[in-house]
Amino acid sequence: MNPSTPETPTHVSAGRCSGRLAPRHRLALIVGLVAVCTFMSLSAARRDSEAPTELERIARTNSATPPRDSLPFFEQSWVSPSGHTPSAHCSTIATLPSGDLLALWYGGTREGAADVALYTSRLPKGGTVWSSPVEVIDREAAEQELDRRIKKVGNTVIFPDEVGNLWMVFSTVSVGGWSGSALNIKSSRDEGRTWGESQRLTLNHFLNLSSLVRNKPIYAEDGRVGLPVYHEMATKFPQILWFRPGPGGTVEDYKVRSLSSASGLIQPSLVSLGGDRVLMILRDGTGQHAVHTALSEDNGWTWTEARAGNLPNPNAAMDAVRLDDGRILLVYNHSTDVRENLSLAISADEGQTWEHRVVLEEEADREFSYPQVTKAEDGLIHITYTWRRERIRHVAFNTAWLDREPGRRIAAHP
Amino acid sequence: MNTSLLPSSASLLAFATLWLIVLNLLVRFSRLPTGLRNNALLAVAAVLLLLVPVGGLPVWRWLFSLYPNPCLPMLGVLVAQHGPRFLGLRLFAETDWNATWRFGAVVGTVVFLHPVLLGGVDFYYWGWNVNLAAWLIAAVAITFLALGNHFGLLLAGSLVVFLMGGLESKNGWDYVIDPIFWIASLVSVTRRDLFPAMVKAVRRGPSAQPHADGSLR
Repeated sequence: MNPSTPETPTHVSAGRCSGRLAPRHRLALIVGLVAVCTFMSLSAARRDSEAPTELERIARTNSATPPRDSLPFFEQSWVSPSGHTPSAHCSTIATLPSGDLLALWYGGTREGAADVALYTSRLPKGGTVWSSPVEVIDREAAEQELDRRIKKVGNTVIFPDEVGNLWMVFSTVSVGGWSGSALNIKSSRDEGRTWGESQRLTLNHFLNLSSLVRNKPIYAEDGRVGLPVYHEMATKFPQILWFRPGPGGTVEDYKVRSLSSASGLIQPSLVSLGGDRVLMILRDGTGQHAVHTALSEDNGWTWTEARAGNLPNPNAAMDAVRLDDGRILLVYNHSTDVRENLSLAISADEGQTWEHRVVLEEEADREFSYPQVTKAEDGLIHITYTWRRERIRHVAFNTAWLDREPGRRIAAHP
Repeated sequence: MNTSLLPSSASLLAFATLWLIVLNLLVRFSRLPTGLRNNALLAVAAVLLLLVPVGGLPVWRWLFSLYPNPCLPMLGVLVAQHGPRFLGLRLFAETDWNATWRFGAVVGTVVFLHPVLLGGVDFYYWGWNVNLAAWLIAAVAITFLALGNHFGLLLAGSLVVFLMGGLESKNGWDYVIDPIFWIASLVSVTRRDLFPAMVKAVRRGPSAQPHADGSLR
């Protein structure tokens, strides 16, 4: 080796560059890299299969159990007690393996305030009264678990996996507004009575900013969970977070598919149509003020172009569930500009057209919004929603009630 | 203080990067002469500055909140910048720096701007595919290494850390590019490549064209 030749490496003194790598060092490094990649490829081959296998035939929200009664049934109750927090919003509800229902929402002085915390309440199987709220996590606890500055906590969704663990994906903001959110995940092995540590999910390329969540997932037979999430910074679009729940309530691996061509459409709600088909219903932020839908024929991996349907949407969240007879029930605000009513609509053609069916709530200058719907083991449909931004309300009914009198209004409160 | 003072394994590289950034600033602004004692003083001062509690959190946790996944080339660039003073080594030659900044500018522009520029293409998704991401990084690293360019070492390091899951992110792109490195690369490419090229073009303008007899206008 000739130290004076610029192309050859030298052990240099301060201020001198080491020059180019020696050919034998280059070769060793290249061989090493190829060996590492080959080893890694073999070990990761199983994990990296692309599209998930067929959607679970009996999805959590798609129980085949018939309704408990063919007579019309409807009941309503409060999930959050009066005066519990000045503000309550963004509820989520899950049917648990035991048959209980668990609702979760965020409450505090106002949306985005530092004192906002996530609360759960339980409705035992067969019961009619929700339990007292239990605080799950607040800003300070999230800060401690995630080892970073947390300014506020927000939108959350809870859902069970196929082995009975309950999962919670919640958004936190370190700086700025909701568009600066990041998502975190934690799990419970006792149906939401206790929760494990939070884990940060890195879903976005720019400082992991702008990942939000609203609606429940779909389930694939290979164990993967497809959670609809969305992005809001600079441009808005839906995403699907695919993750594989690991043993003991940990996340084994995850990846995100961005549907950035669906610009301006957020808060996707997914409905498994059976087989490989999935319907996506989207909140409209494009200014068309219409409920949008897209269809997937490959378990939510690729999607048709989203198109506006025949229902209005005031840029507000919605949720949907597939009924036992194959129809789809949508809970939404039937308006182009306000959230003053909360309505139910039915589609008998897999989301192509909708029929407005029932008005659950309606009052001028009040907000009834952010519904979430699930089906219980007994076939009853349960909906929770934000009531005037003050409380979380729950209604339960069967399809006989839903089909009774199209166009009627329900607004009586206990 | 309600969170741990020292980094966990997922935040170790972030802490190291932040420490080198603060050290860089201290070196520039303190202007202390090189020497073992001064260097040690600056290194310790940088650590202490990161551990100062602000609002119940050490400073570095605040910075980590905003910059959770520093890429390996960024860490390498900082080490290379400190090389002459702290290690007595000039780790990067001019060609290595050129490769580093051009890589950062091109890859960063593709990864960070594609949702805006190319709505239907999801480049970031490729980074979730461990095989694809690893082979892509390895191919680029091998190319640079075959040319004897030291930037290949940074990419090889990125690959190893990616396979070890050394960052909070599990996406391969986050191991080779981050927004700070991208912006630094754009500034450097503009300063080193684009600006001199523009000056050259202006100098070659009509006023500098010689007449047929060879004289200038």
